Amino acid sequence: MATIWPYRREECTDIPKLVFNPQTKVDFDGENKIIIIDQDPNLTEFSLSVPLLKKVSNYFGKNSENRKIDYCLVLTNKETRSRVMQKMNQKGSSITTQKSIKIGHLRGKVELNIYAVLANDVKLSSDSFASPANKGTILATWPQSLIYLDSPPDRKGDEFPTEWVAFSKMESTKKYPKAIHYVDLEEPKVFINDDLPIELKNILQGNEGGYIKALREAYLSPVAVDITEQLARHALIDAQRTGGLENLEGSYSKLIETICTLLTGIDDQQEALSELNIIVTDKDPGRFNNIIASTLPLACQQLKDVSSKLNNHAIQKERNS
Amino acid sequence: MKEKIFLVDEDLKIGDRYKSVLASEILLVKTELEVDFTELNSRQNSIFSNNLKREKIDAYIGEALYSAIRNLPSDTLSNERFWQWLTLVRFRKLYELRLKDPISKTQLATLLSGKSLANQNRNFFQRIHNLLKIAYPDGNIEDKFTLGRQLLRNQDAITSICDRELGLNEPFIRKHLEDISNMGGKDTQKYLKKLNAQAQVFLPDYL
Repeated sequence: MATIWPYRREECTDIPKLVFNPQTKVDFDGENKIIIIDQDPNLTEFSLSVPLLKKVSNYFGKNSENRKIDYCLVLTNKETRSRVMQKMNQKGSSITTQKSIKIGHLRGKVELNIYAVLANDVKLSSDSFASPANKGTILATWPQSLIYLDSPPDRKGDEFPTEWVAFSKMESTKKYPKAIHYVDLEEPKVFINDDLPIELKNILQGNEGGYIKALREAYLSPVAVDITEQLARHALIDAQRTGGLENLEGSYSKLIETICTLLTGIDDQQEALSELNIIVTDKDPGRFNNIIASTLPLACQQLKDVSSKLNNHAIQKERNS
Repeated sequence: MKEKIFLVDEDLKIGDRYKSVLASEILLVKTELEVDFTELNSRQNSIFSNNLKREKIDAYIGEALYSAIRNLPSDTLSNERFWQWLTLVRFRKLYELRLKDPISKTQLATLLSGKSLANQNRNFFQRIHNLLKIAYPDGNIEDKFTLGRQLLRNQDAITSICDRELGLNEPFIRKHLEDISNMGGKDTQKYLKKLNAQAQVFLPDYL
């Protein structure tokens, strides 16, 4: 449910820009997530800036000169139960941190929120619910940024067993040497074609961030959707054949638990599983066939959220150009 | 007398190992850090000899526990493996007495702590520390522990304050501790809800 503020609050859409010290290696993962890849905790620090919207500075219209607004950065780290508030400086049309902020002593995820607040109590010429008057009132917010301080796990192609194999040499794939991936549904295991050109393999098997990562995700994300769909379809057909979802095991069981809400449109996972089980075991296969043919491909695309991932890279490109 | 601090050196969540493993079988790693648990040991002995009721334990040991560990580095105090050692090894008997059910039937976070604010606050030892850190940030307990004792008798205060993000804003919440310490359970919850609502409209640092 949307929050109804007692007055108009601006929600600025510009993403804050973070700059780290040269010793800290970071990977900008999407529009607002920053993963620290390599750091010296004694040196890890950043500065932050974000454009100032005219709407905020002109909040009080003609009377804006009489109102003082503070811009505050609030840094929260739940793992260490830390919270710091720092006032920011207004420089021209942007606001920036007064000095670099050290974060090497923190752990896990650091949340950054920026607020524009009323710096002093103000007397309004007329009573108005639309005009805040009390010191500390939040006038505007910016999108939250997240910094992940722990090194990311190695990218091994998801937690699902994956192996690079020359398709030209494997019995089930040798007639398809240009194919990208093959799912062995029995094991189950994903094979990726080792016959792919070396330049492409270097990108797919690499660990680099930035545009290389964007390229890697652009290539592998649709593959992940397709693999998920194959596995889920196999699990559902297997459950139908063996008399119910409770007969599924391991990764198949986990996958159906994850995707059941999307397949049924029911938010509660337990209810969704029950409903899906009814569909799977129903003597009339109409609803089951419909899920396999139409809903499953959509659900897998939704689950893997390819468009958001790729759009994050598009936004990053816009910001850097 | 000072003694070395240890950290649990294995994942006790795997296969619910924490439910059955003996204290002597838990893998530990010794740190270079030292603390003095003399007063806490003495309080523990007193609890056993006087059959102190479970619900009075927090207020009785609070000052001794907080004074002993408050100067440890923040990365140790935010390390769940430290709290696991304190709970399942060093003061296991005391902790078992504080529990409502046996260890084998107790929820994971109550014994092993966790990363979320709520889970950091399920472990009895850790939540005593969390709350007293707000009440006595410099460790100077000049009120003969009156405020701390009052707060630790009010379980709703402990959970309502330290489970919420609002509880991380220590200077702000400190201004309200005196009032909260004198409240009953329902009033505490109501009061905290009101503060939480205020924090949605105002930056609490300005209040």
